[in-house]
Amino acid sequence: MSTGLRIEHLEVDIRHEEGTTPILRGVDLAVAPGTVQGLAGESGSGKTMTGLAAMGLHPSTAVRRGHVWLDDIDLLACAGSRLDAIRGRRIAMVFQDPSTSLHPQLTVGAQLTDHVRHHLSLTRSQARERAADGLARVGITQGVSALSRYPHEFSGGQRQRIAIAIALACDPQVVIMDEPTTALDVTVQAGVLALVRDLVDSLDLAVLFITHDLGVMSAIADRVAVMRYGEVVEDGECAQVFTAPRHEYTRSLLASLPGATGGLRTRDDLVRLAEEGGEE
Amino acid sequence: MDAARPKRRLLSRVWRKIPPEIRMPVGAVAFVIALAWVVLCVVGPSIVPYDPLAQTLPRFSPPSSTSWFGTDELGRDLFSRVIAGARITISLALLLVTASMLVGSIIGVVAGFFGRWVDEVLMRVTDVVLAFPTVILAMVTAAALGASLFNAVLAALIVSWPPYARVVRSLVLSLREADFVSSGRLLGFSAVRSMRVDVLPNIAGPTLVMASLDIGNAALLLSGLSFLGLGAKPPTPEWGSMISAAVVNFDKWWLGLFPGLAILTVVISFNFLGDALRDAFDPEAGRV
Amino acid sequence: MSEPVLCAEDVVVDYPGHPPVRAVDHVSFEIHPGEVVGLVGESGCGKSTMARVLTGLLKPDGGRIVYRGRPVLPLGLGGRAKDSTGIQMVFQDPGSSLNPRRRIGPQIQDGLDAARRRLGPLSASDGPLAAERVADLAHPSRPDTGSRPTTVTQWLERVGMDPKDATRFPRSFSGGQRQRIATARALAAAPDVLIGDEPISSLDASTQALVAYVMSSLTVAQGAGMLFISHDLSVVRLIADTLLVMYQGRVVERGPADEIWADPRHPYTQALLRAIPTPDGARRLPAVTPPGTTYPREEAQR
Repeated sequence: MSTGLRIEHLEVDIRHEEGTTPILRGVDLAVAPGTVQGLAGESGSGKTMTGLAAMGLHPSTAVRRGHVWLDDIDLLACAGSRLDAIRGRRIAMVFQDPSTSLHPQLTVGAQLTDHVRHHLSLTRSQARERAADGLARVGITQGVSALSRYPHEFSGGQRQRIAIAIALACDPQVVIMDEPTTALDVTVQAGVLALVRDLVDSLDLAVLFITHDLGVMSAIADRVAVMRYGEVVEDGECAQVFTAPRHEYTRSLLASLPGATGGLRTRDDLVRLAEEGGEE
Repeated sequence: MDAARPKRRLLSRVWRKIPPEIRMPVGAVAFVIALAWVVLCVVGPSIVPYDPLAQTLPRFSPPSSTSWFGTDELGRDLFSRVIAGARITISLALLLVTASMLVGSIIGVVAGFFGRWVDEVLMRVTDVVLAFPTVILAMVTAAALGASLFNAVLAALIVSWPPYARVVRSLVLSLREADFVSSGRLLGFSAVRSMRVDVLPNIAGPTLVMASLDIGNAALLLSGLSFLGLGAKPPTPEWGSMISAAVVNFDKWWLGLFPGLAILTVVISFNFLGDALRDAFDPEAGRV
Repeated sequence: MSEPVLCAEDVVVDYPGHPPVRAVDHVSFEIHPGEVVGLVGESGCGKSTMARVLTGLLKPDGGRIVYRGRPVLPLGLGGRAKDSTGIQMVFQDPGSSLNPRRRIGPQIQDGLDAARRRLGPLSASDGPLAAERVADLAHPSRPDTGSRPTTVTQWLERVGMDPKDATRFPRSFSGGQRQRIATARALAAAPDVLIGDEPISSLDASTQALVAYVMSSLTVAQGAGMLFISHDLSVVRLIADTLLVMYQGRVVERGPADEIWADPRHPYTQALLRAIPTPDGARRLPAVTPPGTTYPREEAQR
């Protein structure tokens, strides 16, 4: 039985000519199966680096310390073919912009079946079948005909669904999603969020959902962690974080948002916020 | 700024792979060598032990304590000739690069600025020149103009400006669409003012970097033309023509080795220098 | 009601192609002095195209833009017509809205210069707006009242920055700060209309509402009108007086911001509002509209 993903005291430093700069200062997170662990924060807080470092996709100038446990395997201790066998198979990632994360010159079918056959020993026709099923699962219902089409023939929302289908193709236990709805229009975003929720519930997935958008976070996450300056300053149940935040930073973040608890509801709230001298 | 990318040489691509802590000394060494060559350009002729043209020494004597690089077929001191050659090769290479950059930039700016048919005409001309193999076109032009150093530079100029025109034009085109250029126009900047204040300063960096990466190539092209007898004429101490003379006496290894090493160090050091310049000009990595 | 300062009259924009794509389809609206008009819609609805047309950066294929009673001409190789520097714009990307190779002081100074060129030797006969500025410019030493700042230093203070920042380059500022500087530069030109084309959408969520407020309140304080373009209805409705909702190149709903927020009439506006997730911790998924849903392109009546 999978225990999901556990990140223990993850530190990342970036080496450069003048020395090193700490990006993550000891991040602890646990993502249980069947739940969405949200990871929120502003630009530069380290939320994206957390996802990349866990996947081993950090820049070559970064040095990692700590543990990223996938069951009893420490991903930080894996490298080379061992990591390749796990990545994409047992833990997968979905990126922000599907127009760059999908290969523009390969059909959707080729991208799906290549990925599946790389990890699972399947025949070509079995892989195609699995690919068609995978697309159906994310709501791309044109079936087999969709397999022979190229990413640019799909809308932005459909492309992100395809990226999710690729991530899920080998039935991973854990999926890291980095701002998966940020590039989408709100009406399209609503559909993708509903899809993610549905997949988490039906497949018992553990999802680490990274976003700066606290509205999206509130809609999708079971637990929410808030990062600042490379540290998790708050981690709790979704309702608790939004309605009774423990950390001052979370409170100030919410106070600056329209529609949040203690946030901006009318123009007068905004005037008051400006007069109090909100800082960037 | 991406337009300058295809121009990047293999050498500098490898250079980027080297970890920064090793790169610094390499960059520093390259800088020192390049600087040394430039200094030799200026003071060289007054510090050489012998007159580079004087045929007073024994012929074909190998390197020794009296003539460090040996002597050539006419009994001239090779060390003095290599040092004296720096002034010719490097200053002409700088001249060539400056001229190509100016000609190419002017054409590129005009094409990008006016657009439409002006752009069409200028870019087709550029394409035509680019369609010829560089060295062959330069050879043909130099041969047609007659062998002299000046004509060699002119011939090299004719083949060297098009890359600048292309890069500058694409930089101008992309910058014209940049938001800060639009907002300048909205504040009432004329097209000329917009060009001068908002566009040109932002293309100067990449263009200068491209030029500095080109110095080594220019030296190579000019030496090549001289080697083929299309540039410097004897007895001018020019590296290319010195190597050319060494070819007939290939058993006298020092005749070709030292001018060759001179060309090699100039090309490599200026390439590294250009690379360091690019890092410095990168607006993201740059300092205030 | 005052005379509108900027009118879009039946504007049409086609992008070439086979067949041509109609980005803006017979759009008309007005912006009045002191009014903040919010223009919302999703990607591809034509809102950014509209911004470029309003400023003269793009020539419309039909209709016209009227600024203070005179048509706005598209930008040519020469400078912009002197009086049309009264239409200013703040762009979306804080990374490219300022010239990276110039210190910010001179860039704001360009705005002040544009104001001096346009308003020239100021005379009260230039209309009520100019008359007001005459009064303002006559007392450049009043820093803290509603008067118009007349120096770079005053402008930096006005947008909440340190006057010492004038000698620094854009790269040393955060996205939010750059948008404040870009706002100062645009407002220093004493515009009658400021157009913000998604000026907050690349900023961190916590600064978006604040920067939007700084931008709109300063504009209104100058007696100018503002068109605030955004895809984020939840922020726009806090600062806008009037809302325009665009869908497929057309305005499908318009009216007072509060009314539209409370009671959207057009099915598209309703879908847009329902899709906005609220940061309330309720774990409530926003309503999903089936993919491929189309909406009527006729404007809803209020």
